[in-house]
Amino acid sequence: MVNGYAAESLQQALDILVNTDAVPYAGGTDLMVENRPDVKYLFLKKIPELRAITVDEQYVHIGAAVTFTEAIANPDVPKLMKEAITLIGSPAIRNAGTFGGNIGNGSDKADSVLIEFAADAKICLVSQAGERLVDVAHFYLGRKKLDLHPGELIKEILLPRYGLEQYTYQKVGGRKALAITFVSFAGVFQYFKCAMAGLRILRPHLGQPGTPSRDIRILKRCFL
Amino acid sequence: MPDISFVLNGKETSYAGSATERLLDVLHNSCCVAIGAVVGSCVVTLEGYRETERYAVMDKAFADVSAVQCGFCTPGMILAAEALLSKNPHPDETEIREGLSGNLCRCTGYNAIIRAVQKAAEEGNGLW
Ligand SMILES: Cc1cc2nc3c(=O)[nH]c(=O)nc-3n(C[C@H](O)[C@H](O)[C@H](O)COP(=O)(O)OP(=O)(O)OC[C@H]3O[C@@H](n4cnc5c(N)ncnc54)[C@H](O)[C@@H]3O)c2cc1C
Ligand code: FES
Repeated sequence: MVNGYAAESLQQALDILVNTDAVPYAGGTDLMVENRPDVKYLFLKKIPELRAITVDEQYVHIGAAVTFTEAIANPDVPKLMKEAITLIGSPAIRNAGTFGGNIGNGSDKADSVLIEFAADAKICLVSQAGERLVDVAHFYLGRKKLDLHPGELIKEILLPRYGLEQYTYQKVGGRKALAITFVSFAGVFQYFKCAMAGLRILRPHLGQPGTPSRDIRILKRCFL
Repeated sequence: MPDISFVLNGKETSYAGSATERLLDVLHNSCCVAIGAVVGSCVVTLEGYRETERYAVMDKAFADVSAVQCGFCTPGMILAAEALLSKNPHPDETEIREGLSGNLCRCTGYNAIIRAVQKAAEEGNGLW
C-alpha cells in the first residue's frame, strides 16, 4: 500500500485504527496542506458506511466521508447546509472535502460546522466498543479540540430534518471563491421566535486566527 | 493502477489551482491528493488529456482568443473547463465563472478565458 491503509469496511477501518498509528484521511484537503512527515493514512473514501446520506423520522444522516459536492446534489440535505457548503473553496475542493474532515480538522473556520451548531446537530462516533451520539457543541470543544477518543472515527453528522426551513446565512471572506471565512452568521428561525442562532467571529486583521473559546457563540432562544 | 503523472506541483496550499487533475470524472487539486487515495482510480492529468480530440478544440479556442499569457494558470483552467463541459456542454457565463472558480489568473483578467471556454463549447459541439 502506498502511503497508508485502504479500508473497505468500517470494521476493517476500526481494526486498523487500533492496531496502527494511521491518521484518518477522507478528502485530504486539510491533511495534504499540513503535509505531516512520515505519516501513514487510513483512507476512508471507500467505506460504504461513511459514504451514504440517509434519513429517518427526525434526522438526515450525512456520512462522514460524503463530499460537499455530493451533499449539494442530494435532495434530503437541508437548504441551509447547502447554502453554506456551496461557498466552500472551489469546485475541486468541494469534490474532495468532506463533512467528517471539516469538523475533524477542528478548525475555527469550518463552514459546515457553523451550520451544525445553528441546527443543534448531533455527531455519531464509532469505535470497536460501538457507537455514541454527542451534541456538536459537546464534540467541538474549541479550535483543534475535539472530544474524539483514540480508536474512534466520526461516522455521521445528524441534522434535524425539520425546523431549518427559515434561516439566514452570511459568509464574509476575502473574495468570492477560495475564501476562508472572516466572519459568518447562521440563524434559524422558528415561527415567531428566534429559536437558535450561531454566530462566529474571527479576527483576520489582527494576524491571529480567532479567539478559540469565542469563535462560535450560540445565541439560544434569544427572542422567546 | 494506471500511471499517474501530475501536471504541476502547484502551490503548496493549492490556492492557485494550477495543480489539477481529473479523478473519477470529478476535478481534484492534485496537491491535495495522497497517492494512496487514488489506488484503483482512473486519473486524468493534462498530459493524458492532451492526447484527446476535446483537448485539440480547447487548445485552439484558448489560442484563438489569446486566453493564455504567462501560462501558469492554463493547465488548471483547461482541466476545470473540461470537467465543466463534460457535465454541462453548453454553460452560460455564470456557470463558466463558477466552474473555473478556484483557478487564479494573474495575467488575463479572466474574460478571455471565459470566452475561450464559450468558443470551445460552440466549436466542439457534440464532443461534450
Ligand atoms: C484551497 C482550499 C480552500 C478551502 N476552503 C474552505 C472553505 O471555504 N471553508 C471551509 O470550511 N474549509 C475550507 N477548506 C478546508 C477543507 O477543505 C475542509 O475543512 C474539508 O471539509 C476537509 O475535509 P477533508 O475530507 O478533505 O479532510 P481531511 O484532510 O481528509 O481530514 C481533515 C482532518 O479530519 C480528520 N478526519 C477526517 N475524516 C475523519 C473521520 N471520519 N473521523 C475522524 N477524523 C476524521 C483527519 O484525520 C484530519 O485531521 C479549504 C481547503 C483548501 C485546501
Ligand atoms: S495567464 Fe498568467 S496566470 Fe493566467
